[in-house]
Amino acid sequence: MVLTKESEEFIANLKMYLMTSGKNDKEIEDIAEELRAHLEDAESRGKTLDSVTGGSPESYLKNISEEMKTDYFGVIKALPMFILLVAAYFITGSAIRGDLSFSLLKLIAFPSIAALGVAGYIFFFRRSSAQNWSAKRQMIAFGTIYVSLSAALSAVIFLDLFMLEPFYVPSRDVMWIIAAAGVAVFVISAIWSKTWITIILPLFLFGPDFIMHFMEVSEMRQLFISAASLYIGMAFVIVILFIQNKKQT
Amino acid sequence: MSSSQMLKGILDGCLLGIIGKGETYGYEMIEKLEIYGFRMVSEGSIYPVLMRLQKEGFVQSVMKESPSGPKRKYYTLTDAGKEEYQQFKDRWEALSHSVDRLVKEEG
Repeated sequence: MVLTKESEEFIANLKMYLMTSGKNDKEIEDIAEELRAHLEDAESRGKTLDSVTGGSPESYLKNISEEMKTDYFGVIKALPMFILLVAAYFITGSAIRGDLSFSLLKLIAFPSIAALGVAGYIFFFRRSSAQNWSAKRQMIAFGTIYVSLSAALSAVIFLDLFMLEPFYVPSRDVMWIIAAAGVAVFVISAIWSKTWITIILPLFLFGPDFIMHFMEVSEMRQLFISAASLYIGMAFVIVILFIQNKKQT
Repeated sequence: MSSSQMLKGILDGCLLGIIGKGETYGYEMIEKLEIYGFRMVSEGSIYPVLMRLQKEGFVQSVMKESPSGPKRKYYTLTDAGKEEYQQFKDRWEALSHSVDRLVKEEG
């Protein structure tokens, strides 16, 4: 049986909320399936979503969440892979282009910005799923986080370029080894998470740099091609996510 | 105090009683509760309770494909659950007896 749009949204929000609350995947699937069955029965008898949630999906989600234990072990297990992945995103591109350098500022600022960004996105996903935000509101919140992160990163790169001497600049050979390690991290995390995103996105992000490294391309054009490919890559991933989401519901 | 607030404290015991009458699933529990005159403000409120009962080892559940309709989670009482229900009945007996005596005296 097909559920109403409100109920489908509610189930999707439930999953997102519990996931960002660090609950166990199997238990999330269990309760989602159980509530779906209930909603199917309820709707086929002419009842609405409100009769199930009591009119406040937010407090109902909190209720459910409180009864589920937080899967700290699952979170901790995922953390090293996640940190490696973030680090790979930060340094693979530079390592391919050959402008990788390590300075104290970068070493402190990049992980902090990454941590803030992740915290921001988790907070945003929890809020938006609990309160069932409209697409417009989601876009604004999502865009705000994205722009502030980009601004912070640019500021760090700019400061670093003009103010600080790096304490370590790897040789070209070492950079290629670092780049290869980055690629390995992307592939492993794709296999581990069973999604293609960590292959496709880096391909768009760093693929052009890699190809252009072996061609005679002017610096301005390189910059332009890199930026264009980044946006095409992002759009590609969003479309894939959108299609997957449609298929699931 | 609304009746749903009053029910909160005893819903655990009531669900144990419903499940004790035979294997059943969430939506059916609501229907059975309604037969006894319970009007739930939110039907979903039984699920957090069911999760808690399962965590405490009073009920066990199994997913079953139903011939007509969705996959459902069926609950049964464990031995600990049967014992807990017995205790609930005793506590309720005593409590309702006292409340009864109090409210009837006033009139």
